[in-house]
Amino acid sequence: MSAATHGYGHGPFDPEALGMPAVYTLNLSAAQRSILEWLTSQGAVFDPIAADVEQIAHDCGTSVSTVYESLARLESLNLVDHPDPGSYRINPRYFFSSNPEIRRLVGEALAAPEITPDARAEAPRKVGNTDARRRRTIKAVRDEE
Amino acid sequence: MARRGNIALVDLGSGAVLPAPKPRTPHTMDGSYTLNAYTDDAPLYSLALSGAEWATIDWVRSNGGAGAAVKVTAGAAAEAIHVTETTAKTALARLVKLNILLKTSPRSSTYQLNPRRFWEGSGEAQVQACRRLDPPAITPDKKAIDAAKKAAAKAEEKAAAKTPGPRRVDSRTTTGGTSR
Repeated sequence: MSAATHGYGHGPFDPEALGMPAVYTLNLSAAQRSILEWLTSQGAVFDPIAADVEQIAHDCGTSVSTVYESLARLESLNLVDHPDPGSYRINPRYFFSSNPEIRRLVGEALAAPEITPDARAEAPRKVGNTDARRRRTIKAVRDEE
Repeated sequence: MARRGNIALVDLGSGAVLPAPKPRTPHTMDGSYTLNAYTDDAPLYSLALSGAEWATIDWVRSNGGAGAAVKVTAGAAAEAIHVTETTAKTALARLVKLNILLKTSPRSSTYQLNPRRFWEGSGEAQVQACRRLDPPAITPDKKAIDAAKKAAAKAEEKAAAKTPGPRRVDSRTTTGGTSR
């Protein structure tokens, strides 16, 4: 079954949005949005990163308790995953909200028919005419006298 | 602020102005692409943006503001991001001041996100947009600088509180007991 036919989360899977509503509709506070941006700029979209809460608070100009509260809200929204203590990763679906071209392409790929190998793809590769000729050519070996 | 002016290629030996270089060869990046550049400009999280300002950036971006100038009215923005019209107006004004949003002309209500930081579209169009808009760097304003200073002072205070002070000498051991 393709991913397009699965149900994700609470609603049916929408290949147009790829399960990520527009960020501005989530009513994020300034601290929550800043922390999301901080995590994104540190590469947390692609891999879990070890994030120091005090460093986040310093960079975003908030208090440490605000950072904890914000991370908790982002976690409750499933925007941020917290696999280990001190390690954070942004939900990969968020990537598509800031990369609409790729979202469109992935959405189209999910809706497009699958590529099916035909009989020729199963058969051994045909040797080209040039290759066949090269094999038949016998080169003279120089006489070393 | 240093801005690019008219530049020319000059032969240092003869002082002759050389002709413009040959036209750019098309490459794969001429197709549409998305740019989220983290350049040497101030990062957005350090600018003390309010929730409405963040939401305005995201809303303008989702309405195509990263690839072209789009018409933005305070009313439409306010309705989309669930704030009052005054808040939306203030947010737009601050984003323009920070150079995150660029106005195509001072009196128009068309805005484009700074192509140095955000871009969606073809590479050729980005080059043209950069030529036309001559995008300035995103620069922190007074509010952002004050917030950064406050955060730095707070961190310093905290660090000072954490470091242990000189050991307190117990008066009982030196005087041979309590004075009571």
